[in-house]
Amino acid sequence: MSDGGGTYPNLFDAHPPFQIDGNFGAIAGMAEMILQSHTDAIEILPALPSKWKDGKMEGLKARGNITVDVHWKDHVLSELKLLSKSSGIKKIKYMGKIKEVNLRANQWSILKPADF
Amino acid sequence: MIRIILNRILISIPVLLVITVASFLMQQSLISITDIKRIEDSHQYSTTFKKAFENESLPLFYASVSPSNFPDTLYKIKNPLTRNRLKALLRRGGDWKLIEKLNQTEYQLFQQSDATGFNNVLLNTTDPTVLNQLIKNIPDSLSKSVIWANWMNEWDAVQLNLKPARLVIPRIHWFGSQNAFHLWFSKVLRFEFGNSSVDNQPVKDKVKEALSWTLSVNLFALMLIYFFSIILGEYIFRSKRNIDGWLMFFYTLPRFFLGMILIILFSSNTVHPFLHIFPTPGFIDSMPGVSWVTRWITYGKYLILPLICMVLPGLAYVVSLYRTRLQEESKKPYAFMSWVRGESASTLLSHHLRKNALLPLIALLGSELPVLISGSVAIEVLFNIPGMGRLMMQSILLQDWNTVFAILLLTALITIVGRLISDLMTQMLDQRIK
Repeated sequence: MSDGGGTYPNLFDAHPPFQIDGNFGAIAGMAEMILQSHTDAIEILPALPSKWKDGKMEGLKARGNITVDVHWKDHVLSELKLLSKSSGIKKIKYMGKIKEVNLRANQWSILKPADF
Repeated sequence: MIRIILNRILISIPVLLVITVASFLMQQSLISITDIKRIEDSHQYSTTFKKAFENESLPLFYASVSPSNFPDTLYKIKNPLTRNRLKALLRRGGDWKLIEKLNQTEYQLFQQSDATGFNNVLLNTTDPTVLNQLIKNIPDSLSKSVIWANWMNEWDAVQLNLKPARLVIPRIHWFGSQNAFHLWFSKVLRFEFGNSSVDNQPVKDKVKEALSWTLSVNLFALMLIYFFSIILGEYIFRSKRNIDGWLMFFYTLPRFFLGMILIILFSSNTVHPFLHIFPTPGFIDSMPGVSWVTRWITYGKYLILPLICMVLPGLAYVVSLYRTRLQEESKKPYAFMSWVRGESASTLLSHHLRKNALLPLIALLGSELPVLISGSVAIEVLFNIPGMGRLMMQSILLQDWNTVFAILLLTALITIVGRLISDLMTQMLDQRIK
């Protein structure tokens, strides 16, 4: 940090004066380790790093305007919460398995690892 | 906006002018061909002749360009045979003064009674080479008369004075507004196309009656095409079915063929009496002047099959176009963004895709109307609807050129107006073109 490298506590990069790839790209990359929604399925924890043993990520948005909260313990999903603005069936993918979830508008849906 | 309207109208004026001039020239040449035939065939020589050549004492156009030896009053010679003979001499470079003199002597010659019939032979020969051959065989009884001697001398004088160089030098004659085109065009502007040569009715009334049927049937067909295209196109787009084969089949199916199949299937007992749903095609509009609603209710059952014939090929084309446009639009970034925002597929279609995909369909509207009208010629003849197509067909067969060209000009006008309307609608709807 002293020589202008690394990151600040809020994960912005410390390279002066402003590095857009560092500020947004690095965080986007990290978010994509937890959640991906490029296809029509929302994929949970596609590339969890081995150093992140326990953790949680809250308020992340998946495509289709769905808020996703992910909690994990010992490298395994412990709880998944979904909030959609519109009702409909969504595909959720975890560990290569796909589950179809019926989401209701503005209601939290809670999923456990046993559901997959 | 007003600038665009003016621009389009200004562009369409020269187009209309070219069409008018072309149809005028065609009409003139067709009338003279028809009437030369009639002169040869019929004994109603004088009446038809006078009618057809009403305008013949006037020059054809505002100006003419001709070789220097051609006179500017050639059009005043009414007999086409005489005129052609004189023209043949002029085309060889003859001097007009000598030819005119020859013509006067010939006129005196034809007034005389002629036992040998040689006058008629002379009258019917237009080719100078053939004439030269004929002169050698003139009977002695003729060559001794004074007029014949005069004629022979003048003929020799013309033959000696042939100078092809005269043909190279052009001369422009200006006739002013007293010409056949000007009179014809000023009548056309007032929608006066003269009388039909078949039943002596004003062409205006005949065309008006036929036009109302054709326009109402075609506009109704157009409405059906667009209504069903939107429903069917969106259904195919959402269900992702592939019916390209069927669409292609109906698009390429000739309308008159489809019509014949429909007539055989649904308005006769040929296949099965159970299928005889619709009446035998063909009706005569026996209540002109009655309101359109009543007429459509009365004759509606006769119009169902022709409407199917008109709608199916057009529908297939518009549906496939609309479906393709929807697919293209759904790949654009704004459609992706709509998905990201969490909007449903139906919201995307009704709020975003439909508007953009409909634009080229509206542009197509203008070109689809003339296609329908020209396509309805076959359908109207087949189903015996008293519209423009059938009138055009009958008039061509009966060589009623006044009616034919009135319809031709109207069709051109409808085409241009259709284009104009679709252009303006596209302008109004597409903000990007502004």
